[in-house]
Amino acid sequence: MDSSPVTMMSTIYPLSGENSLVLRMRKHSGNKSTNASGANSTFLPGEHQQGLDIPVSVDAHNQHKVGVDIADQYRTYFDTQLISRNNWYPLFYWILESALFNSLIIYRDLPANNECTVNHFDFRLSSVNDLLQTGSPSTMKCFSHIPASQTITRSAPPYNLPCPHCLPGKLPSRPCCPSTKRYQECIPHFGWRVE
Amino acid sequence: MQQYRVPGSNVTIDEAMILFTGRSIHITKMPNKPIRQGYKFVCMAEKGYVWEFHPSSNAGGGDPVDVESHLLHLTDTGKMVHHLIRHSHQRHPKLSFNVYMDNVFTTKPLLAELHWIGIEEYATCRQQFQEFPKELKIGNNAKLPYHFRSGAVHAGVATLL
Repeated sequence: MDSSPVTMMSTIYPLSGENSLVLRMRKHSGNKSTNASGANSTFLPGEHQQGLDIPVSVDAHNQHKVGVDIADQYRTYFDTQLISRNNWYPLFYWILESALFNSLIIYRDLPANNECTVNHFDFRLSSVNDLLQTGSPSTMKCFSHIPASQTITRSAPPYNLPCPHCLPGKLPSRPCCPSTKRYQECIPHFGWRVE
Repeated sequence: MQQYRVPGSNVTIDEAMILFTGRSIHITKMPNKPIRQGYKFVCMAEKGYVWEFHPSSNAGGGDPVDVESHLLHLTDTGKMVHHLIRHSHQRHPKLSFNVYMDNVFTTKPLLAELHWIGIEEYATCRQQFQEFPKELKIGNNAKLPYHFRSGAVHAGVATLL
């Protein structure tokens, strides 16, 4: 099976029979790995990989045992976690990021989005804008004492203006726009006006 | 939001660590792991979509989970896994799915209990735990040929070496 013995438990897959094996490309183990002398005896000298029969259960485990790891990886791309002294803040950020990535998966699965793949960065940026819009004083009860004439609305995206974080000639230490193409298109996050 | 999505047939149960280097009685320290200190959550996910999660804690031997009386023989992590799976199984009672776990959670009573409620599972396991079939045990330094396979079936759970 592997260069070192692997033990598994299953209630799905059969131990023996016609359908218990599947052909997969397997790689030659390193000469110093555990049980290398036994495992590498099936390979010809100088051969690095070979199609070998492995149990269906091992193949399924290799394919499907990555669900949590994918979520971990996507969560690290745009990390929201800030340094804080409260011990419950990391839990909140973790749940927030999980909810954001879950909603991205659902958004990608929508029938209307089958053709295009939604960029993770664009999704996070638009969700930030939507959250700011949702939390505007017109929809929040705690700001109901403010007259309606003073409600804050987002102006049209000023595409001709540079982003305040990426002024021309002065690159920020941590650019908020990943590509130079977006520098002129970036919507200033503080470009809100009071009517 | 979970009403807009139906679980696929293959879900994973694994641990996720949240980095936290401050002080709390619930942190877990694992100095040799990428996240060396923090909170540990047990997650049930499918291709990146986190379905369920449950915090685990070192204080008081794990976070207590309400289990029925016939499940008291499971370990603490086993109770957590059973709780996660049963929770999503109650939400989608008509669905059955395959659960893939790693060797932290796997015990034979857990697999037998989950098989009883209609969940199939597949997991790597350790030779050291107490219900491992004695006839499959091998020493640490045994030399085996590449295609050596053996197996045993106990109480509906197949163990493969």
